[in-house]
Amino acid sequence: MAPEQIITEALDRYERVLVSYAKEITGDLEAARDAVQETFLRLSRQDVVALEPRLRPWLFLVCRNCALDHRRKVVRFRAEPLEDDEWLSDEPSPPMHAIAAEDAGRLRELVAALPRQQRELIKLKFEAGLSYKEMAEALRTSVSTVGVQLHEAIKTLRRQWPNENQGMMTT
Amino acid sequence: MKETQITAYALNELQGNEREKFESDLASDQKLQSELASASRVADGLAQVMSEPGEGLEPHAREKLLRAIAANQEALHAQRKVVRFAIPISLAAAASIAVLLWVTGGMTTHQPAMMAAGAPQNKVVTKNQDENFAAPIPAKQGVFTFEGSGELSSNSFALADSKVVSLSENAKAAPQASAQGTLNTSNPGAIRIRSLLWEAPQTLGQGAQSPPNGTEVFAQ
Repeated sequence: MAPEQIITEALDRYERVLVSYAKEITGDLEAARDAVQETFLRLSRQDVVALEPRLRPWLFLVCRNCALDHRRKVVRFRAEPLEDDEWLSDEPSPPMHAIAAEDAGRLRELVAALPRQQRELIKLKFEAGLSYKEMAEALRTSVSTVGVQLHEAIKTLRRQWPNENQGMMTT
Repeated sequence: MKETQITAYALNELQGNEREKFESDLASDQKLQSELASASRVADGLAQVMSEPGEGLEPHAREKLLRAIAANQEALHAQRKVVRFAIPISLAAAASIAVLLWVTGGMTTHQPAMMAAGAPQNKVVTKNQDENFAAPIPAKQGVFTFEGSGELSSNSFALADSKVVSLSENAKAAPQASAQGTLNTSNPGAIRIRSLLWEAPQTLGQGAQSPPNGTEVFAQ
């Protein structure tokens, strides 16, 4: 496949997922879009054919770096300290909002209340469909760390999103 | 059973033996079945919630990005084309220079200037050129120290009077590498040294190290 075709297909396939992922980091849609554009510009300067077998983790890794760069700039501008920036930080989860979960919106709220690194993993797993190995590559961490963090996230959601409400999320 | 394996199994991330072992435990463990069902429910819910399409790039920004990608790709192709041509041209130029040097080196093989006494020099010798390449060396009994580099197919050097003098043990030890050793001869008279059975262009020098007093050593 020609390099341009690979890039175009990757853009079609991952554009929205990457914007969503970057937005998770920047907290701002426009900044997320900028990060995604920068990611694809960087991709276009690479040997795309050689990169293709591991394109997916590469895209998320670069997108993450671009989004973090943006986040750092904004924080510096505001002279505020970075929060929750370390992948392996032991920060406790932010306080949860309402615990009662009844539908998809509630589940989204619960996900939004998870620590940032767990939210990232949820997005990478369920939006982008990355495997543990690909997530580890994208986040520059180990597969076991990914497994543990994702397990913690699911465990939290299991506890806070009671089973009896599951049936209500049908649409 | 690690707790993390329940989540990994629910997310289809357990492979091979681990998966088999988990399924084997699962068959007989009701608590595990319940845990897995709970994890799977959350995973299914997340898959449903997170798979909803989000926002992408603005259309005009996307078009601009595609144009920039095309331009970058074009520049990359042009750069690669230059590299693709530049490497063979450089190699060809280097080979031409090497051939030129080899030819001019061969032409100067028999020049008297090469016979300057005491000056360590090197000469490229080929299989076709090795006959009588050495000019007469004033006869002296003693030790000739020489250096040669390249691959030698023979450890021996011959004297003009057909007496073959072997290289020292030092040189025999590494005949494929730089031949360096001491040539002992007790032959008085004009000594002509030539190589035997050169397989490839060789460099043979002589007298690079301290010759005995009174010995005139000539480079070849």
